[in-house]
Amino acid sequence: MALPKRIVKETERLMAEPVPGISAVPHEDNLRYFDVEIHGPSQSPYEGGVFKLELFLPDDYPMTPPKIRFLTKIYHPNVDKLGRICLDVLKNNWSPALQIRTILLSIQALLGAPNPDDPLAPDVAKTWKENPSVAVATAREWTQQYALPSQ
Amino acid sequence: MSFEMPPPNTPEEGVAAPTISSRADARRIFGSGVPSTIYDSPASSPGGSRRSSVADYGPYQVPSRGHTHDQSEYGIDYQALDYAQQIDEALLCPICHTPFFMPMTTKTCGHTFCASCLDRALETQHVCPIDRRPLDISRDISQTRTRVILDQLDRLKVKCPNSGCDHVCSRELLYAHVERYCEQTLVRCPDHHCDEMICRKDARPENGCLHYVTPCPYCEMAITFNDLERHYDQECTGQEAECPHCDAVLVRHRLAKHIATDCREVETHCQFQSAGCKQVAPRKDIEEHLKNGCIYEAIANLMQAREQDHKIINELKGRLDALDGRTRHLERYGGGGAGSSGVRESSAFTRAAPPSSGLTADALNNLNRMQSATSGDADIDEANHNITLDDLFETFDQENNHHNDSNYSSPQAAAAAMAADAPPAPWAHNSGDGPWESPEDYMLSQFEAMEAKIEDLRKMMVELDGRHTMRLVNDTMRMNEQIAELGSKVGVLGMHTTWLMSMQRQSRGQQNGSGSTPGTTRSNISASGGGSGGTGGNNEEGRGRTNTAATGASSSSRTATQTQQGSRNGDGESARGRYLNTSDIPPLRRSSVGRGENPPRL
Amino acid sequence: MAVAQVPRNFKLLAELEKGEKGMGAGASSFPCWRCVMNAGLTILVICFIRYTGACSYGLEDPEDILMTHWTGTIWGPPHGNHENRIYELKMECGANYPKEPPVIHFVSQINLPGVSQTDGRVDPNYVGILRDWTRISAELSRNPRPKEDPLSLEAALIAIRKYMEEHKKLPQPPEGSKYPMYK
Repeated sequence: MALPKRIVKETERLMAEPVPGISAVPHEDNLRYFDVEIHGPSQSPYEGGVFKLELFLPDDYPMTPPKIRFLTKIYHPNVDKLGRICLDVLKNNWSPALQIRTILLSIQALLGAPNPDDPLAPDVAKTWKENPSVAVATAREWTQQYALPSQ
Repeated sequence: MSFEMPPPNTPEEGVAAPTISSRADARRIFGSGVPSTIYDSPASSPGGSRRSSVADYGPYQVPSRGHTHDQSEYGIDYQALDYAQQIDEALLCPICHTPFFMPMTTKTCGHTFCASCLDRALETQHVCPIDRRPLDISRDISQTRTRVILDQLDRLKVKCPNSGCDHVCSRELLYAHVERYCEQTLVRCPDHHCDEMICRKDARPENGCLHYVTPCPYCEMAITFNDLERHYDQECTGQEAECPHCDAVLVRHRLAKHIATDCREVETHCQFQSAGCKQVAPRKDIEEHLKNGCIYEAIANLMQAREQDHKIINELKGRLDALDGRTRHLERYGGGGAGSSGVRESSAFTRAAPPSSGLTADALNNLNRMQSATSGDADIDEANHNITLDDLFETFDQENNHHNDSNYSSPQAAAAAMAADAPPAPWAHNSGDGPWESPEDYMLSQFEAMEAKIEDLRKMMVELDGRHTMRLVNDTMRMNEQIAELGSKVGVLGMHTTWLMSMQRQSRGQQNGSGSTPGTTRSNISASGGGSGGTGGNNEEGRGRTNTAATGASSSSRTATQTQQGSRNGDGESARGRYLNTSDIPPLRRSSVGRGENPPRL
Repeated sequence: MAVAQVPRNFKLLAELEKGEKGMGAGASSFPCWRCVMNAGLTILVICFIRYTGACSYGLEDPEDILMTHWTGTIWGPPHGNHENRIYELKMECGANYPKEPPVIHFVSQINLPGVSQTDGRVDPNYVGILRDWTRISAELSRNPRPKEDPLSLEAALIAIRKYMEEHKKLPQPPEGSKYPMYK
C-alpha cells in the first residue's frame, strides 16, 4: 500500500521535529492513523492535562481535511460528547496547504481560547457564556479527573 | 461494484469528496487523447461527465522537451518520484509537498502549485489554498513561465520509478528514459493475441508470449511464467531452504543471492579488503566494524583518489598525444617559414577536434617561458619593448575570440589549464606506442613546435607594435591639429589687441597730445605684434606658446591684478620693466600686461 | 490503487453521522429511541422511519466514546405479520469491528428462525451479510473499494429486514412485547 509522498514527509517531520506539547505517532498497521497527545496550554483550564486524540488521514487527504477527535473526555464548548471537534479549518475552511501539525496547533489553540459562540456542545457553551467561572472550574475538574498524564 | 449504497465514510458536510483518482486526474489534465491503457486503476472512471479543470484553459504549453502531453501513458506519477538530491523548499508544491510538476501560478496572489494539485484543490473551493483569496479558474490562473524555476525543476535528479531500475537522471529526461530505454517499463506483450503487459527486457519476439501458465518448480502452484520472480519473492512456500548460516527460511531459488549479499551471519570480508584489511567476520560484525571505522578506510579512499588521478593523467596524456601529433602535422605541412598560415591551419584544426584547449594553453606556456628565457633574442626583445605580458594575453584572447574557439576567458584560467595540461614526462609513458622513439626525439619535436609558436608570437607582437604606432600617430595628429588651431586663435587675438591698442593710442594722442608713457607702450606693442605675426606657419613654436599659455593662465590673471595695483600706485613702470627683462615672455602674457595697464585710463 | 483503511472509530463515527442525517436530526447527540417511544411520539417516529426507509440506528449512550453499544429499529416489512410494527434491536460493535460483524439482538420479541427466543440474539448464520462479514472484510482489506462500503450497521439492519420479509407469514408475538432481559 503506497503512501503518498506528502504523508510520508509529514510523518517524518512530525517525528524529527515535533511541535512542543504535541505528539503524533502513526499506527504501525495503518500509517494514516495517528495517536495524538496534546498538552493543555498553560494559563488555560486544561493546563497540566494530556489529552489523547485520534487522527485519520482519509483517502483524499490533503484535498479533504484529516478526521480527528478527542479520546479523552474534555469539558469544552467546541468539543462534543464523542470528542468531535468544531473547528472551521477541519470543515469548510480546510485548505490543502494546511498540514497535520498546523491542525494540531489549531486544536491546541482552541483549548486555550474556547469559542462558545460556535458551540458543538450547547450545554457547555451555555454555561461558558452565562457563568464562565463555573465553566472554567468544571473544565479544570474534568482535566484533573480524566486528563492526568499518569493515566 | 454494483452496490447502490452510498459510502458510510463520507466526509463532513461542506467538504465534497473529490471522486476522481489521481491517475484519472492526470489523464484529464495532461491529455485528452490518451488511449485507455492497463495503467488505469479500476476506480478511475466514476462518471463520464467532464468537469472544467485548471488545465482546460489553454493547453499546457510544454515547458521543455521532456514534457509531453501524454505523460500519463506510461503511468509516471510525478508526485511519487524519489529524488536523488536535496530539494529546495521553495520548489515544493504546498499541496503535495513534492517538487512542482507543471506548475501553475495564481495571478492575484502569485502562489504556485502543481497543475493537478491546484485542480483538485479547486474542486471543493474556488479559493487560493494558501491565502483563501477567491480564484476564478478561467481568469486567475496561468502557467508558471519563469524559466529559472522551470529549468531548476527540469534539472532535478530523479530516480526511475520502475522497480528494479536504478537509473538516475534529470527529471526532464525521465519520460524519455521510461518510454524508450528503461528495461523495466511494462510494454505490450509481443504476442498480438495477448493483452497482458510485460517488462521491456522480457518482451522479445523470440521469447514469444511469456504469459503461459507453468507450475512453480518449488510449490507446484500454477503461475504465469513472467510472474515467477514475484511469486518466488512473495508467495512461494514450497521447497523452502534454510540458510545454513542464519535462521532465514526462503525459496531455494533465492538462497545463493541471500548468502552472497544479505545473510547477516555468513562470514565475509571487510569491504576494504583490497586496501589491506584482514578482517573476516559474519556480515553483522563487519557492519559493526565498518561503523566503528575500518582503519583501512583512509587507505582505500587514498587508493581510490589515486585511481582517479591515474584516470585523469591518462586522459591528459591522450590529449597531449593528439596535440603533439597535430603539431607534427603542422610542422610537416605548414613549414617553418609560413608561421602565420600554420597558425591559421592549427586553429582550424583546433576547432575541429574537441580537446581544443591544448594548443592555446601550450602557446601561452611557451610565451611565458619565452618571456623569461629568450630575452637575448633581439627581435623579440624589440617587439617586447613596449608591451607587457598582460597585453599579450589580451591580444591572444582576442585572437582566439576571433576564431571562435576560445576556451579560456581570462589569462588566469588559461594558466590554470596550463598547469593541469603539463604532464610530468609524457614520453615516458608513450615509449611503447607513442610516435616518438626516444626522449630526444620527443624533445626535438617539442622544440620545433615551440619554435613555430615563437615565430607566430613574434609576428603577433610586430603586428601589435604596428597597431600601437598607428594609434600613437593618429592621436598625435589630432593633437597637432588642435594645437595649430589654438596657435592661430592666439595670433588673431594678438592682432586684435594690437589694433585696439593702436586705436587707443591714436585717440589719446589726439586728445592729450602727449601720454605719460608712450615709448614703453609702443615697444610693448611692437614686441607682441612680432609674436603674433609668427603664429601662422610654425607648429613647433605654436605648441610651445600654447604650453606656456596654459601654464601661465592663472599667473597671468594674478599678474594682471598686480599690474593694476601697480599702475594705480604709480609704479607701473617697474612691473612692466620686470616683464620686459625676462627673456621668454609669451605674447599672451605680454598682451595681458598691456591690457592691465589700460583700465585706469579708460 | 492503494486505499486508506478507515479505522474502526472513524468508520463508526461516519456511520453515526449518516444515521443522524437519515433521521433528520442535525444535532450532535442522537436521542435514545426508548426516550422517544416513552414520550409517546410513535406517530412521529413512524413518519421518520417511513421517510428514511426502513431502518434507523444510533448510539445507545450518546457519551459512549468508544461507540460500542448501538440501538436500531426496523420498520416491519409490509404485507405480512410484521406490517406496522416497529422492532427494536441492540447492536454491539467490538474492538475488531469492522473486521468482525456486530453482535445483534432483538429487543422486541419476534418469531423468526435464527433468532434466539430467550435473549433475541440473531444467529449470524441465518443472515447472509453477517455470515459472510468476515470474508467480505478480508476481501475488502486486500482490494479496497473506496467509494462504497458494503459492511455497516445499516447494511446489517437492512439485511435483517429483508430476512424478516422472507418470513412475513410467521405468527408474531403481541406488538410491543420485549424479551424478559430487556424489560
